[in-house]
Amino acid sequence: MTQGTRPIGEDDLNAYVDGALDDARRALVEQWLRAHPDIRRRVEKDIEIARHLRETLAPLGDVSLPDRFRMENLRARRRQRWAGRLRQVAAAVVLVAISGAGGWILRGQLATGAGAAPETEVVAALAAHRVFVPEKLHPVEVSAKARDHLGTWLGNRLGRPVPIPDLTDEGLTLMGGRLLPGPDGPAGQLMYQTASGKRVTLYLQPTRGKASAFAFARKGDVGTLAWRSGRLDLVLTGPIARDELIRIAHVIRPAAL
Amino acid sequence: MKTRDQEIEACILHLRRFAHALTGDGDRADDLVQDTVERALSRWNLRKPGLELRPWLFTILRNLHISAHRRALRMVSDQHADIETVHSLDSSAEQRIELKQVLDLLSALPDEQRMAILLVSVEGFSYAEASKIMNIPQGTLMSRLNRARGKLRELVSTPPAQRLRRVK
Repeated sequence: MTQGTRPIGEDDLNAYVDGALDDARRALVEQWLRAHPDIRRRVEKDIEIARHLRETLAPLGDVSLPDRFRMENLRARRRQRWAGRLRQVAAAVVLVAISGAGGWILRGQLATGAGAAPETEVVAALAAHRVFVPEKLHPVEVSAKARDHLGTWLGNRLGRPVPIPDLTDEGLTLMGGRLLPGPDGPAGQLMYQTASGKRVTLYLQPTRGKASAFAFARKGDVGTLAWRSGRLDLVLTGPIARDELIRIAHVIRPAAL
Repeated sequence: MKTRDQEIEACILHLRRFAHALTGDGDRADDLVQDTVERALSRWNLRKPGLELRPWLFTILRNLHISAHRRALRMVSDQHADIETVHSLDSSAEQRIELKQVLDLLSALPDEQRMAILLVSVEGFSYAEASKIMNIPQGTLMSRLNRARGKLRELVSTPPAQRLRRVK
């Protein structure tokens, strides 16, 4: 090391990884690293990891801005929220006035109000999956031979178009489907089978609300992938890996808009 | 007025990316970003003159995230414990899976270390800016970065995981 310069420290190594050194210091660090191969490998690994994080996360910041984040919309929602809060506060004041300290309970309600995850349909889908998948004689109500009829019939009962996705490219053969009692009325189940006899079901239930991301859950040996298309809540269930479920769901999703 | 809106909108994409990587959940991230911008609008006049917009917004987001995190810790039951969200992007399934792997990796870090590495390595803030956003001395930031890097190296080189394997 040259006399009169500070020894290389952890701070230099970090700054080297982050590209925060000036040219002179960087040259010094590089020279030092050549003499310390163990640390050089560590530092190179750090650089590689940082690059991987940056590259993988980059697309998250490189999308079009959703309407929700247009400033005029943000401002409008802020006004609405204020109005809503004022109403809640006014209601709380009235209640406190009427019931004295009893109004305190309202406190809890003011604090909640977050959106709920789609859970009831996952429970319903899993229940239907467990009941009908082991069935030998009557796994489905309407067989795949009457595919068109199955789509129209379920569509009529669910009150909206119901897709019957073709998943043969994914190694899944349609067996058929059935009508089910859902938590809020009619729901449907489509059943598919792999060449090795594994059965995968797609649960469909009418909904309103905006399209959602995929939510994965695992219960014992089966995995479920739930999402909302805007018109339907869909739950894909089967004894297969999560990534496989995601891959299949990507084929189904465009059909279920 | 107009330029202010444009300035904020330009930051929102970065805020969303940071929030998503921080929480590991796209929907929660967007709620956090919305709260951040609303908070910023309500405090616009309290902002110190000369303070840059982007670090300021990140500071607000960080504070909201921490208080939300504390609230969550106080909640006794977590019914969604075994449900994870795979955020939908307009990209291929492979990219999505790779993103999921990176988010999994990051979720193995303590909150403060994750924040440090994201601010510096992904969002490109200087050490001075990042330590200001996190409200910690620069030395503390450096030791958090060090620990985050050590942990990530360890996770990446764990044999069976192969978590950083490039898909393509």
